[in-house]
Amino acid sequence: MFDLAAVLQGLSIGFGVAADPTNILFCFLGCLVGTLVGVLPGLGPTATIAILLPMTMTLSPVTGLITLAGIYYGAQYGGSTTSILLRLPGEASSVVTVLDGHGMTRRGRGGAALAIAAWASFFAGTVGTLFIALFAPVLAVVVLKFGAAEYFMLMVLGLVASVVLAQGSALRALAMVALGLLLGMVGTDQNSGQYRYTFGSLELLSGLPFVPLVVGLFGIADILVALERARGGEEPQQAGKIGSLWPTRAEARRAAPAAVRGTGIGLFLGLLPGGGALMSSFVAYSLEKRWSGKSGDFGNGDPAGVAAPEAANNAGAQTAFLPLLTLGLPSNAVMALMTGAMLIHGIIPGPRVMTSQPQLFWGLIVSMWIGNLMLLIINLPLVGVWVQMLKIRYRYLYPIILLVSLIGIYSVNYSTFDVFLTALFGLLGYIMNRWKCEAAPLVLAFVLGPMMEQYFRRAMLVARGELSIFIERPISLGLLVATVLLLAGMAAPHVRRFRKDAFAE
Amino acid sequence: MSYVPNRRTVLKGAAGAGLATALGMPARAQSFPDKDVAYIIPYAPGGMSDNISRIIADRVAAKSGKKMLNEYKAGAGGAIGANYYMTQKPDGYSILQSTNSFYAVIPQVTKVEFDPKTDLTPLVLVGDAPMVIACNPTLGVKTLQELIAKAKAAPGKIAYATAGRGTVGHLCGIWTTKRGGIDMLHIPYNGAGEALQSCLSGEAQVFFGPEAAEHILAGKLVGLGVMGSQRWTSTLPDVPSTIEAGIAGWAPRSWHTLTIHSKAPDAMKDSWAKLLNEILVTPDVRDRLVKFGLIPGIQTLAEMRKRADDDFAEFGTLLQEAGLALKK
Repeated sequence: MFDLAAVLQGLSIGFGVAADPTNILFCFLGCLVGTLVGVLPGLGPTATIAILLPMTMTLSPVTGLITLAGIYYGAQYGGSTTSILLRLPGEASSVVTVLDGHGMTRRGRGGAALAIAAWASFFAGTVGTLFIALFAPVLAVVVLKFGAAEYFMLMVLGLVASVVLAQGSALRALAMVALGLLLGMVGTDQNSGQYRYTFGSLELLSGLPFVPLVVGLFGIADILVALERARGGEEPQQAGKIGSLWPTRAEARRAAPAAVRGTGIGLFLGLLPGGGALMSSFVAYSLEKRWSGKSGDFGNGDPAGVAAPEAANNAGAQTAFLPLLTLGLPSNAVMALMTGAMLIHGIIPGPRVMTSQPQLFWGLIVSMWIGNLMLLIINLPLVGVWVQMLKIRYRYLYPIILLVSLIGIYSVNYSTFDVFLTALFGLLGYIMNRWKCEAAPLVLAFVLGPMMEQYFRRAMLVARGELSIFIERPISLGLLVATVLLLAGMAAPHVRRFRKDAFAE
Repeated sequence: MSYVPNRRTVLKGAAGAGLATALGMPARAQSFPDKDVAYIIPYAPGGMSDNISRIIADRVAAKSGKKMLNEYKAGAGGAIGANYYMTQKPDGYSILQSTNSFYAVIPQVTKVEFDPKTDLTPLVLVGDAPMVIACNPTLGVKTLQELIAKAKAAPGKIAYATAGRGTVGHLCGIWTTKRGGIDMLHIPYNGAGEALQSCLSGEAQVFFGPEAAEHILAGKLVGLGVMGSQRWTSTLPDVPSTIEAGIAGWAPRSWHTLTIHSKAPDAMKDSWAKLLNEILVTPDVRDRLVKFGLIPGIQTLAEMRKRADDDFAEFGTLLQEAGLALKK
């Protein structure tokens, strides 16, 4: 299946390149910058890399790419910090981390949650790097096996699995899913070019932007709710007692297996362009929740609910490089920027990079692992510093969060429209909170809904309207079977209870 | 950002300055532009327009010491950026990175706040992006005529993948079906990357765009033709142009330019065209543009105007035929 000698030779080339002091220095700088911008809500890796790209023009191509890659993982780490401590997810993939990460913070275990996230990510990153090194050529083929039908079935599986995300009333969760789907419909219909709910606004032609939606619904809404409590004379939940920064033995025992399972999911889903990385953290979380049944305490700070999605999204972040390195196909906005960076350095991304630029290919892969190691070294001592943030009195902390979030949001598209949208979604989030509706199902539906529609319609185009495409293709069929089993598994307890009740009468 | 001049450019610069003084010319002849410039990029970072803008901004800064400040205004296929550009002062210190789409397609399919003929002026030809017609090898065709024959035998069975509705790739597909007298299915994707992937995997069979070149060279796709009258000699010398392949006449094309307000002073337009052309002829810039997948070329302001207006008319006809044009 693969040529071990070639892999070993590749890794030795890679270590030769990545261990070069200049490369190590820039890898470190990239990771540090990435961590810092990841911590600023709204300002994600895409904006940062776009800003810093010209600086790497004077470096050698490998060093430049290593720096940018460092920013990318660094931001993934940093993003989880704000999700956990401040309930501010900066990116789609850290939305689920909010649920239990912030839950742990409320219990005074914020430091432990950060440490779990860092270790889980490091583990996933290490496995991810090895995985790429060993299977790169084979995986390139897998990526091409995924067509519209497979993607659609994957999304269906994800959506079904996500039903378990809902914590309270199922009716409210369904209402939120419906609202999310409606919000996701805004924009231009891809197939017919018709405008939907755009009200003549050009800004809405490409749909509602994601970051304003999540920052509004989670972060801003949270602040509004806290302020209301403060007005009521109630001290807002101040995580004054920080407790030990290290996970307890019990926490570690719950987190470790969850991180392993999350890594497995992330490795595979991260490969798939368009939503793969996002799906991986949602699916990993849902699976953990199903897995632990009643023994878990999801939503209130279960360490497994932090470890699984964090491991999954970091493993996904590594494997997302594969389509770019082996096929020249970027799988997300950051990878598109990396493509640009390669071109500016005079390297044409495509299927020939692996053979024509082995230094670059292997150097980058090895530097991914070194980067992950550095992130662990940078982040563990910083846990203590970040946690101190929570000690700032809320009357200073909240205005700072608001200001930084809005600057971050503005910087994504340099659009004031996005800033107003954030305010609007903040208000919506506040109302939802008053009505005890949760934001996570809405966000998932908002992201998955439009993708499902696109993949479904594309599958129908490809198959000329034959629904049988979903069962004729083996991978699609496998996913369909998994979905049905999952549904049956979820329904089974209810059916049993129903039968028991029926017999009792 | 920080530009570190290498020794050669410093020496060249010094020699140039010395020569200029010796000839009695003002030494600051190269000091155009004399202040920082707003540089609007109407697409998301990472695309071709962004890549071009980075090279240009870097070289303008090296020549003049003044910065071109990239501002990204993506969305609505570029219309948001172009509308935003119209709100900038037309004093010649704001530039729009653009493609022929701004002159020929966008204003004919979207309601926009500019008239490409009277509001926008293309300054230079950065390069043509050759629209390569490529197909998956499993289709079993080697030439454009074979593709047409195959499509005639099985109408609607062959599908082509594009970066989206109304993109140049889509228009290439419409053109091929109309001029070839065939019926092919259009499948729109999110961007050229996804479309290319679908052609590689065989979900769709045909793809139009320069992005296919690497995959043709690697033997993963078959090159059937290059839209228009010219071959792409530097990269795919063996792939014939569509005229050679037997479809006469104008074909949809894609080219990159930098745009200035038509209301900007004429002296500014000339200075910009001169500065940009000086940058575009330097060998290392040309080399980069070729690697981006462009065919660089030098054209005057008048030639560029004609290019833009020709495309407006030709694309207009095609958009009408396809029923994509905005209802007036």
